[in-house]
Amino acid sequence: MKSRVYLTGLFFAACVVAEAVAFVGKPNCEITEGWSVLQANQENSFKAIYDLKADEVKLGKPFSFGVKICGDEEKTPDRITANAMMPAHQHGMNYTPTVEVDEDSSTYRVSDFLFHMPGVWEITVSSYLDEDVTHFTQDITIN
Amino acid sequence: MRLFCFLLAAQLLTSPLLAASESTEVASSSSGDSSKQVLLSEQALSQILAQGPWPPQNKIDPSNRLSGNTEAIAFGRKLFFSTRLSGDNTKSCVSCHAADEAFASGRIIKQNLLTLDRNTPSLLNVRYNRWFGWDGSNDNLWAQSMRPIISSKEMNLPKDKLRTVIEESSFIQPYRQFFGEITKHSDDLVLVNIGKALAAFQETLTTERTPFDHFRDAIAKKDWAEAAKYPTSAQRGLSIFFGRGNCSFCHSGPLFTNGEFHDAGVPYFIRPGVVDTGRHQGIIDLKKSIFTLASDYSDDPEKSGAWAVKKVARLHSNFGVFRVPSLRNVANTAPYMHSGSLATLEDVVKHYSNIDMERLHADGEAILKPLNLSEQEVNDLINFLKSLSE
Repeated sequence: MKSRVYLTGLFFAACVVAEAVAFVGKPNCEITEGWSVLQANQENSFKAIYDLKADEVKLGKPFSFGVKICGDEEKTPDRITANAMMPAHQHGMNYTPTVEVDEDSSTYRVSDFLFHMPGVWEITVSSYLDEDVTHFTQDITIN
Repeated sequence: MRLFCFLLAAQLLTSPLLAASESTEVASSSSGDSSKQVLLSEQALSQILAQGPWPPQNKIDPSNRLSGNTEAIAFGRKLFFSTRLSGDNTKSCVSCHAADEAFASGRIIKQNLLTLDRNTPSLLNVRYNRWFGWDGSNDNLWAQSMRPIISSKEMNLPKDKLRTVIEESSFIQPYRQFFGEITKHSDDLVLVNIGKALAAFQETLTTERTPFDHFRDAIAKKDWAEAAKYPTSAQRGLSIFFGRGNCSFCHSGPLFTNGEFHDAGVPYFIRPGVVDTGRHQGIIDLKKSIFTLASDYSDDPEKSGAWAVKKVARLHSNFGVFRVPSLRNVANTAPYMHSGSLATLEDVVKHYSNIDMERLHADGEAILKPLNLSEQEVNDLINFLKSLSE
């Protein structure tokens, strides 16, 4: 009986720890300073925010930014991609961006972006979950 | 802004030059001399500021241990001028990159003593490049400096022969001083070391301030009287450059290039059956190279510039595109374009003015279109380009 109580206690303790880990792993999409919303191209339960400051992006210089994807359900995307193009000129970037997950902050780190021409660039972040994909976009102007 | 509006209003009352162009505005003239004015829109003035300041701050190349080393620069200079680096002892780097021709096309190129498929680019300001060569097949200056030495079409000195040349000449003393005992070095490493000495010298080849830079800095200081000394024809040319010409999309920043690769509507068929694929082959060669910033030959422990070679994308649009050259000192670097097919600045301006859309990529960038410039506009653009030269 004593060991059963001990095992039950251990089980509950494990559950508390697991819940804590799940909580840490779940992103918080509350808008704080430096973060803004990426526009979803369709209605669904996902929301995306990013911390790119357009006025800090320099023409011809590589830059990076963070992205958080949040959903109503306890689901996280299978994968995230990011890219950009100039709609007016019909071309994209000359470099392939990198997307890495920062587990600690539940943030996707997007790097190796480089805008080589001035004008309007359309950034697209795509979130893949099972068979579904959600595209988020944002235009920024580079001088 | 308030000052700008005031000056604009003052000019509207007094300027006879407003009729010169409907798209321009007069920013200022406090000199009282109606022949000297600033004719540009506020947007153009903002764009001009992004084309400077000049010169930029020179940084040491961390991938080259000789970068900025005065003695090594002297060693590199001797190598640059030496015919010992050619297989038949007749050609040096300066034979093609002539010192009195802005380190662009030299005597043997102009006299057709050596015929190459691509134009000899100027080496002035080469230190500021991200990519080297018309196709960007190298990501650093020392690797680019090695290429013509061993090229069978250029200096034609095989790597093992280069070792012998260094060992049996006075070059061996500085070589030992900077790199150590040559007998312990592979042929590749000897070539890399010579490339680094040559690169250290080429880093010193930069251009001085130009009339445009004085104009740009005067605008930055809002010194309209000083800015108004910039010729009005060059200002009109500048308006086309930043305006309907779309030139500044690619020729951006203090170096007047974005350092990337674009289709300028120049044919890439060299001769029947032979195509210069430009950046397409350049990326293939780059990815195969063992001499990039990501390699162990780089002296930079951080490999700080290596991201570009790792992340550069292979795109369909890379076929037949070439690196955008800097326009600094452009009046002194004829002929023009990657093929050297245009002899004068007037030819270049007219090429873009009457560009053949059939020669552009069908799925390429929607940037270039015929401008149908008048003769005065052609001259204005040329005068602007000349103002970028010393």
